[in-house]
Amino acid sequence: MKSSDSKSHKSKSSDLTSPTSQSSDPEFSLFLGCIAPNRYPAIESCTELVLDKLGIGYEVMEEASCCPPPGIVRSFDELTWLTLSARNLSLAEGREIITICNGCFSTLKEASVILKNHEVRDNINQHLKAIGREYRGDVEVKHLVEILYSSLDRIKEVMERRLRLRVGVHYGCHLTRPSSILRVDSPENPRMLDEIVEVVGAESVEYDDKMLCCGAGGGVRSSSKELALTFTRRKLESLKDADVDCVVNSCPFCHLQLDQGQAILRKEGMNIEIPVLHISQFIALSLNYDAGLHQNAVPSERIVEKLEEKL
Amino acid sequence: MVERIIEIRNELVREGKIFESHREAALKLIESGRIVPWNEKSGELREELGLPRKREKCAEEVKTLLKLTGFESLIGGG
Repeated sequence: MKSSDSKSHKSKSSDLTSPTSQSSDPEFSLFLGCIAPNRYPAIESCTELVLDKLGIGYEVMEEASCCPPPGIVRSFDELTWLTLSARNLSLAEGREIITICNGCFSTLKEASVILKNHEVRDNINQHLKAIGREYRGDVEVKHLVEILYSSLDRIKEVMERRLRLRVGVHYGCHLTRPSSILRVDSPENPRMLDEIVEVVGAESVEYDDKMLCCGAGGGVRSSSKELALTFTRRKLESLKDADVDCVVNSCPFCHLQLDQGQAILRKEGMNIEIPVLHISQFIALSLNYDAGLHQNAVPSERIVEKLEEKL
Repeated sequence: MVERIIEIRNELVREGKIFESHREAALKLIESGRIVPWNEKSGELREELGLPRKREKCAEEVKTLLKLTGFESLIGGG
């Protein structure tokens, strides 16, 4: 069961909700990562709401740590990266994990593949033994995008309004790469996110630099903010040129960079003002919830008004 | 290619060559179990949405593991 301190209330439009249904025998363990719970918690709320509405049973991994990320920790010490990943995988107790972040997905899925090797796993388990844990090598890892993509028919059944918006989807780097391990979608021309936004009535708009990095990954945002912002600026300009109403992503770190990047650019006199939504928030909007967009740096009234005009 | 870059970066860190901002991020991991830790603002945003103010139950186990793997002494957080 999920933590008893999660509130159970629901409402529409005026405020966002925390989950209402809990499964006593959940199929999935939900891995929230760091950025969603600690910087953009509406992504957490919306994910739980959407899973509830789709009837997908899950348990939040309350004891999980940072995944840890490929760009920051794996680049410093591979053993540490694999050990913390193994601890997180062990917490799933054999259930499949759902991640809501590309970095978490890439880390946990890659680690789960590496840890199928008995020798490597035995070595890592020597460390886990010190904290009374063991990873048995039996956990599969999925991204929320995969779960939604396999639930398109169910989304159509439960959606309450069509989102007649022009959307630029942003895949980020780690949802599909390394493709030989992740095996989610084409790394060059993925379609899953496009199809998910289209199923709730949006138009997925093609734009230049669709597969460009947001700029944040690989430890670039923390070490070289200006370089990171160069990527972000280019991406946002392409989205602006394509006249999108909003950008929809699958990664809270990309989300942060695209959202807060616009706040920085605004101070430099560059007003782009494209609302940024995680895919969980976009689906929550189709369920007629406000998706907590007011917590973003970029105002989202424009898309809310546009949705209301088209009711 | 990526694997080789990771190996090179691991070697450089062992030689003490690491951006200060990266070291600070690693110290946050050692301290809290998270690269992006909870703060009071996080608590306010979460409560506003009806979520538990804080979900942080990993720090002690992570600290133990980071000692065992040598990460703490590698980064200089001991």
